[in-house]
Amino acid sequence: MDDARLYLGSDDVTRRAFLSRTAQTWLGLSAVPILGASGASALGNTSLRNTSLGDDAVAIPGSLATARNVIYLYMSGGMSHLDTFDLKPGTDEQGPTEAISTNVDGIRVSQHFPFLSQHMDKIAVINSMFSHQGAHLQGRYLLHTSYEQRGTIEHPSMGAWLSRLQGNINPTLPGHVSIGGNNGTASAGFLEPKHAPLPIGDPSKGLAHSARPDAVPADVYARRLDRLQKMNAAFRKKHDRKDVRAYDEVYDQAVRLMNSSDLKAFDIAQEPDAVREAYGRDSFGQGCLLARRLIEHDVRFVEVVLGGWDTHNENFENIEERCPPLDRSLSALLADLDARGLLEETLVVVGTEFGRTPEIRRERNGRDHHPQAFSCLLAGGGIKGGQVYGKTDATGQNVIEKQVKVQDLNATIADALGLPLSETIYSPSGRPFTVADKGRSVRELFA
Amino acid sequence: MTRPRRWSHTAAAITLCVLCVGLVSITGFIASATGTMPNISPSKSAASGSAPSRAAPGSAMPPAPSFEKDILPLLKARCFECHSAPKRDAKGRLRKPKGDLRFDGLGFIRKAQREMDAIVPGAPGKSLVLELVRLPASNDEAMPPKGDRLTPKEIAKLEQWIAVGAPFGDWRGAAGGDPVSATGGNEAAADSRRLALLYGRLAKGLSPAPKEALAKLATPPFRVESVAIGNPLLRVGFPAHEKQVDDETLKQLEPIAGLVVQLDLGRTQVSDSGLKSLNSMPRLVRLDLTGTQVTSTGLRAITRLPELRSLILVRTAVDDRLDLSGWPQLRSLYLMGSQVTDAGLQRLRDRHPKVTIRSAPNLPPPAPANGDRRRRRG
Repeated sequence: MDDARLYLGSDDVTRRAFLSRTAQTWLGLSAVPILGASGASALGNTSLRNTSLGDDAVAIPGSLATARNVIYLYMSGGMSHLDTFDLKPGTDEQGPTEAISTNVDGIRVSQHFPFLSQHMDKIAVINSMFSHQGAHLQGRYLLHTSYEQRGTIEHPSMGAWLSRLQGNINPTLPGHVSIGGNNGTASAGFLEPKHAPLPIGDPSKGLAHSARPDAVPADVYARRLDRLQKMNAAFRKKHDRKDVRAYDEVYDQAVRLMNSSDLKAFDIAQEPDAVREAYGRDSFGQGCLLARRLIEHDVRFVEVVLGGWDTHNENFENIEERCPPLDRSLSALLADLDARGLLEETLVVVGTEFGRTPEIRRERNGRDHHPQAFSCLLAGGGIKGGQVYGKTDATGQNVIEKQVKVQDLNATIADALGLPLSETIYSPSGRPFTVADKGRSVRELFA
Repeated sequence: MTRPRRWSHTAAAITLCVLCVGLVSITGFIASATGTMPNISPSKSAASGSAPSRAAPGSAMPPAPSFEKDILPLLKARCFECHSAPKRDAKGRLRKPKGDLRFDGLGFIRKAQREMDAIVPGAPGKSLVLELVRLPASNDEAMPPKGDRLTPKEIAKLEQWIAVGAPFGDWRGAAGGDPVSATGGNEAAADSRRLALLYGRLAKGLSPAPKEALAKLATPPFRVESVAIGNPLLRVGFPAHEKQVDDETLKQLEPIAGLVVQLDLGRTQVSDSGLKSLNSMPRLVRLDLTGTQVTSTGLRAITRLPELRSLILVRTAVDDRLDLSGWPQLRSLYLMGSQVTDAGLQRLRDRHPKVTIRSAPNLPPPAPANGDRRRRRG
């Protein structure tokens, strides 16, 4: 039985040897923003005690992983469910938003999703999402980590778990990228900083600060690195600790990334104009396109953020503005992934931290936070499309059927990836955690 | 702070115990409890339907567990106390099975499979039963709730039995619960993941690859992974090293060829002559040839892939001469950026209605000058 548990990944021995080479800003290499916001703080806390999976992970758990990759589209601010995917036509609460039919009998979506309405056969809509965190920071944190925010520890997000438990497929690219606003909730948490997401601000700009300056020729650069390695050798020998090695790893990652031939994955200017137009010229659209390119180069977890959903005021006007980018970019992404054969193994998630009140606040024509019922989407990666899972009551106030907690959604994602849901993993301080905090994977969603 | 026990967990817990208890002494016990004669086969010998021990000669893998011989006694001893037919206790009160779930009959197990994925054939990691018996005693939801944990050996047997498809053989147990079909197959599990079912079936009787063979393939450019724990099937790729992979590289996969179900040759230097190596991979389910130099002629060399379901020929020189008749299970074909013409696509679609053929993506048209936003007035 143990023979089948074999995971054979990239050669870590080579990487450890390379680890001894470091880079400093004064050598001519600009700081490479690989670390997430939590990277520096996690440096002092990088040892993982008693992991049941051992160091450098990787026993693929008993489940069958259907998804190799995840593209997580995070709708920041709390996407109104009544105006998007859980419409209640004919009620006062619905307001002026109308429903349109789709290419799946019996499924209707908001009028603001004309493109998406032709792709509903690929999508599973979850209308019974539930959270108990109604504030942005806490809700966002729960969505990304499955745990409640605490003052004493920082939890890893799914991309970091994936990187830690199954490793990166492409040894030169980061396993986890966050596009368009890494506000700290997608982070390595208490895991090593090498599992932190690489943040990308503007997808059109490619990866900033990743080229060796022209003023420093390659051989000079190599000599400097070599000299630095020799200078640091004594220190490294005297203080051979995990956090020292972690610091080295950061630079090692940076240099490897710089020299990677896959760096061109970050350059979306290589895509034909027609494709760039189809995704949408805005930051979110180009971010989705970048996500597809990164997936093609074996980056396993990419998050793309679309903000502006916090429609306390003028809900309907703002929904009209927010939906078109999602409509266009998600449709383009699904069609593109599907045509390339990537959708089979790529799980696309549209997540948000909570929904919005069915009751319309008349004085501002807006909807407020509503965590007890909202909607999220799943597509690809083994998910059965063309279904609506779960139900809310007549006005979209409460879930009445098949509730899916935030932890359950994350468990479903982890399950699709083949991550161990019931394995206990210990933080450096010895506290036990599981990947989705005991959430239950919603098996019915899978094909 | 105590978390209220969720219904599904309670029910699942009870399900597991019923399974344990019911399987052991089902015949006499049920007959006396319910007063009916259950519809079971009295034979306790290794039934013909139980997983035969088909370990390949010379392999170290133990024979696959038989339900009646290996699993039933275990369940009888550890689970039946709570999860079998209703019975009267010492005070004469009727004790219902915990969580209204029983394991003392195949129909009841089917019900538990359908309701909570108690046992998912071929997918031990998805099986609630395994999850609950693995929990430490300190956990509220650990099963059984009283007494010793199952030993690692017992858990391993259970896991292995589930991994090979959870076959019950001829066993039926107490009548009732969900209807059991005449074939006694795993239809209840058809609701769960079909791919897991397929892989469970494909793995039957196989032994894991020899360690030395795997060790040789543990370095770049290879990346060889098991598809799931307890499953000897493999997926092979060459991430970040595609340029180094050519027809010769494929030959090095020979020692494990029979176990490969997914092969990612995207962007490699593999050509038509290399495709011949794929004939030694009869269990191939998914084949990715994106951006390689293969042609329709070359693909004719691999006509015997009986399990192939997904074939990716994006950005290849494959043209209208493409012939799909050698792949009867094919369900997904990707031809974007290939040389297949519209007429060729139509012919393929007409001839093979079961195959979903994707060519160009259905992308949204470019946005109009003033953007996508459609102004609504009023």
